[in-house]
Amino acid sequence: MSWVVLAMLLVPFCSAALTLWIGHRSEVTSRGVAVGGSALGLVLVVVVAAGHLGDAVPLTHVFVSTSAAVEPIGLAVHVDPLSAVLLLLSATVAFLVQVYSLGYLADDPRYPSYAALVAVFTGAMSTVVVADDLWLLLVGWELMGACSYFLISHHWELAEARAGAVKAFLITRTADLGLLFAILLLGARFGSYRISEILASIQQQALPRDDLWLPALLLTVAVTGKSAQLPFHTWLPDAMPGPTPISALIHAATMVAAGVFLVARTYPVFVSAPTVLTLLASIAAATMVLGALYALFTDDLKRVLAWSTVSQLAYMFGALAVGAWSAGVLHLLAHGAFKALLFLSAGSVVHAVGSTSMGRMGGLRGRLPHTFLAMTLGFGALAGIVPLIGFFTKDAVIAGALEQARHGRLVWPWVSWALVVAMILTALVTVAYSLRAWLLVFFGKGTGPGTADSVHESPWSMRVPLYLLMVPTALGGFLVFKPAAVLGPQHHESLVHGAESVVMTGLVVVTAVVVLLLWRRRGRQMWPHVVLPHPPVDVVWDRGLVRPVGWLSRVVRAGERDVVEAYADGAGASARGLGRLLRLTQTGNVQTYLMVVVVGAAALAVAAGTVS
Amino acid sequence: MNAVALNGLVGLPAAFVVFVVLAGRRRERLAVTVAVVGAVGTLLWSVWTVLISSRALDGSHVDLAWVAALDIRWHLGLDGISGPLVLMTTLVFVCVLGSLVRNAPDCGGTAALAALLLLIEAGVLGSFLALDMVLFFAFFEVALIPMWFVIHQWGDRHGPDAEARRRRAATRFLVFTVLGSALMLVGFVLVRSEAGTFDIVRIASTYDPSGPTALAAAVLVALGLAVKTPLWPLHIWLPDAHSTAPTVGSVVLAAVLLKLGTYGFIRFWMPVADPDWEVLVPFVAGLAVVGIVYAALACLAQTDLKQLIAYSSVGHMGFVVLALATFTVGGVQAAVFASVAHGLITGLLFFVAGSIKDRYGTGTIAELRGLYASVPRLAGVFAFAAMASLGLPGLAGFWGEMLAIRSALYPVPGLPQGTFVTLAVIAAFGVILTSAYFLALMRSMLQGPVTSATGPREPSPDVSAVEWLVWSPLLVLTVVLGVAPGLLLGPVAEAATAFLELS
Amino acid sequence: MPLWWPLLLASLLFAIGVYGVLVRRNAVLVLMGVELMLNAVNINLVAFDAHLRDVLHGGQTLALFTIVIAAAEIGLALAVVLLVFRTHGHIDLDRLRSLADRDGLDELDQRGPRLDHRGAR
Repeated sequence: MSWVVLAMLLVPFCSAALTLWIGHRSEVTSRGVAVGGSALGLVLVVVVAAGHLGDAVPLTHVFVSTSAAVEPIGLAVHVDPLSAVLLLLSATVAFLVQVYSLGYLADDPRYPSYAALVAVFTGAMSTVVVADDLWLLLVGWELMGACSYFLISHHWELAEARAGAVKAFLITRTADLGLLFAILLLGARFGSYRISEILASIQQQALPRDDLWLPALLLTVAVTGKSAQLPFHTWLPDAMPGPTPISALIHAATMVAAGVFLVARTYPVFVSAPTVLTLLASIAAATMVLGALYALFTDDLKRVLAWSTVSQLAYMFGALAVGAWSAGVLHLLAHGAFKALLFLSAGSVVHAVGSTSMGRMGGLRGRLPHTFLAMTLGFGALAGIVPLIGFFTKDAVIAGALEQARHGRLVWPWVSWALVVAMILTALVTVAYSLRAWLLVFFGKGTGPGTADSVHESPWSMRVPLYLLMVPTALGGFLVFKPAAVLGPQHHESLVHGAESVVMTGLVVVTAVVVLLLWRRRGRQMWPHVVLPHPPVDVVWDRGLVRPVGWLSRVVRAGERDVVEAYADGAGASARGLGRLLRLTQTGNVQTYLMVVVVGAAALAVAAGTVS
Repeated sequence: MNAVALNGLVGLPAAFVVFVVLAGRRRERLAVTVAVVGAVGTLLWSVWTVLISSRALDGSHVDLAWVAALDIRWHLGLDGISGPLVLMTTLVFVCVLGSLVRNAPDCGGTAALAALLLLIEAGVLGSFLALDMVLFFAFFEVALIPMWFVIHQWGDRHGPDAEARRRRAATRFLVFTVLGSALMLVGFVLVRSEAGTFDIVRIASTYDPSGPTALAAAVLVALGLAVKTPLWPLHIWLPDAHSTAPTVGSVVLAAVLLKLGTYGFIRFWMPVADPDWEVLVPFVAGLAVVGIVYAALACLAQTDLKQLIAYSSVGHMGFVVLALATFTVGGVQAAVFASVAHGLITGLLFFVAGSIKDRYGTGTIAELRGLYASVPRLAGVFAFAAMASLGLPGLAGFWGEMLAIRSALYPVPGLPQGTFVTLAVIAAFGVILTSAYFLALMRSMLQGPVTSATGPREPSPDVSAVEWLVWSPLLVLTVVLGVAPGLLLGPVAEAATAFLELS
Repeated sequence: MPLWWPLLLASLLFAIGVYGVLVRRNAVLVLMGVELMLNAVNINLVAFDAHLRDVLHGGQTLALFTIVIAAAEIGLALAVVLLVFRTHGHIDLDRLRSLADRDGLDELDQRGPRLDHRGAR
């Protein structure tokens, strides 16, 4: 089985290389290789995952290791149910995105590099998910960041795409320093870089409370950056100028979810440092509300989805922070499915209308029936409408938070209550913005083409992935009843809590009614438009970091010219000056020279006389 | 056998200098072909030498009396520290001379250029193999002097005052480095007066530096090598030299000659410096980190492509020196790995930069835009090299930087750990600045709005077959070392433990 | 005769000679000063030779050496002075500064025709 894992890791990279090599020589072949490679990768993932779900024995294998470094570094993998479900999520979405891109990028001149980068990304995500060696994980982690950078700037002719790509890469790379230092600290502390060994050591030793606070804090920094939480949350909406399938794959389903995965994977480290969990809970609480509010007031469809992703990721972090591990992971899977569905259908809409601004959409449900269905299901799951998957997982998360607030010892009590309040509030705001977006896109009348003939449904290559994603969105909820089937025997608690669900559903219905009333009364301008040019955090980063660095770099360049070079040139100049000074003694006058000789000889004679 | 291998490794390129000159009398093209044959031969010879040498210096050297009256010996040896550097050097020179085949300089004299490059190679290989301090100094100079000619004669000819700039760059390079090596020689003589021998192997195992003379010697040797490495603030010769040198000159300067400095630090400075001294070693580490940040800031404000890459070299060498200043095995591993990785990656960067300059006639970043559109493959290779240079995990550049930071977090017990941890954190932020300037560069040069104001970039010829051939070893090795760092780390660890008796 | 009489004379002559060499501007007078110095040394040598009653007469022998060298040197020196006069038109040492390390021509030494290496105009 381990060689299947190895093949599963290598196939995407080989497929990428092959796609690049074929390049523009043959359009059909390059597309065939890209999609075929992705399909093959998916098959291998299914084989690996199927063998490791539920109560299957986790696989740990070291392919090659070097002990030349102080602690061994190697290609070590560990496949357990967590890895299996995430493998399935990422490989499936990646395959669907490759198929979707056939239609979306049908006449794009840069298809080969795009497809190759998507394949490399898929390989990198698989690497992160099955890695047992922390350095291997870091390699996949940063490789994903690099692919994200290249893919966001796919349409580099747009200034926003260039800017967004740089912002995303720089912010995530800065946060990744946290991961680097965390790995170094954990390796030095436990004498090994293997996650399985580190976690085993933590379980065996009875560590004092908060003993591992520094590695846990550094890990928090890393995941906060990767998953766009406060204060690193602004890169995700700015990454939207990238192609929509990329937004679906990277910025909804996989890369941003890798942060949540990392916390889930290294959970014992966090549990042994509950103060850091409190911090994580606070960040999650603040981010989920903030993200939802931003989504409420924006007019760009993709930005709504982006802020919504930020908010939902905060839900997952909140769940993990309060100890509801299975709820968090299941919400991760659910979100992957319905957010990918939402983004891909948004791609359909954008493809049809030619713009991402919701002002230009409206009344599209007649012309785009399939997309309408897909998006309805997606928004429904996002808002938590029963019986879609989002309802079950979101309620599981809220119930878990409530449990911790009432009885738990991990997180400080008032923080966990604040988290509960934030979760409920966010759920309601989520309903509001989902409903608003749904209404603005498919109902009413916008300034765009509307029901014109030019608006048509997307080709089959873009529709099939939508259908396929609708299945888990609609039917995946049953997972909540028996998480052990998927996540393993230790996560056996049922996640269905009747009373809370009923209350939540009631609140959801009330919110929906309010929004519909506003729609009826005020039409498309349901509430006053609050325009925030930049999130304030961006201003802080800009004034506090970007501008000083720019100023410093100009100072350095001036210093190079005027100070350092001046010293170097000065050395030559002073040598020349000294020479000029000494030249003054060369008067050319013989008598001056003789005078010097005579006086000098006399002085030497006197000196010799007095010395001896 | 070992003696033949070691002597031949230095003698082969030197012999080919003569052949190239003779062939150049007949035809220039023949001369370049002979030079390439010589370089390939040296590469194969170096592979053989590395294979038959043991990883630690165990006495299988060449050790003959040379200047008996002064106790200077012809002492050559190869171990796990110099082996990777030797291999990288010979490979880079194959690529460099190969690139001359189709890309002869416009001003002619290709045979002379090839001969000078082979002479530099002989000098560099001799420096890497030398185990006697004065012999190292001698080969050091042999590698430097021809570079003046390369820069002055075949350097940049664009621009109004090109001649003056070339002369200034070449002369400044020469004067700085010769001054440095003069100081280094004085330091070596002081070491001899303290330790009684010029043989670095004996010194490493028996010499215990203490007292003011030993300190002065260590300072002088450090000063001399700091000019070459280069260490801030003695780096000022580097940007001009790199940007005015021809492509082959820049590649050799960055990929190979800078490693003379770092290798000198490992081989000849670490045995004569004591980490227990309170000021010297942390000071060197501090200067290295200042160099990392300073170079990155300077890169952010650069307007010339080759100068930007030159400053990035200063930053990378900062990581190397930080690593070796920790006096640990991990530090030496990091230093050698980072040196080799930097040689491959920056060599590739300079090759591509030279290609761009040849195609578009300018190295100013503001005048180059939208290269993804006009030369997509070339731009792709540049983007790959830039990613490798900013230390993306999975490519060769990462491991050196990571191990440097790691070794700085846990330096040898005599050194102040608090200082070194601070330096490690600052160096990590230097990595972010490195990413920033490379991203800014890619954004304006490879991407960038292609408007009529900046001029439409007509598609120039994309990467040619010869260029692919010359660059592919560098590309492949960057990936191979990125995924299999153990290939280098093992030999270096054995050699470092044996030579420096580090824990 | 007391020793100090010839020594005093020698010192006086030497002093006058030094004065002539260092202060006088005319080249011939400088050469006269050189001669005075050399002859002062001769007087010194002979005086000590007589006083010490040297058997080998080293002093007197050396005085003969000095006379010969003085004659040779004065022949060469006068030839140089003659050439200087021919090229520059004067033999004022203060104005002969063309060997000074200066940029461009020395304004003190501009009289006289510019001649090439063979002394022709």
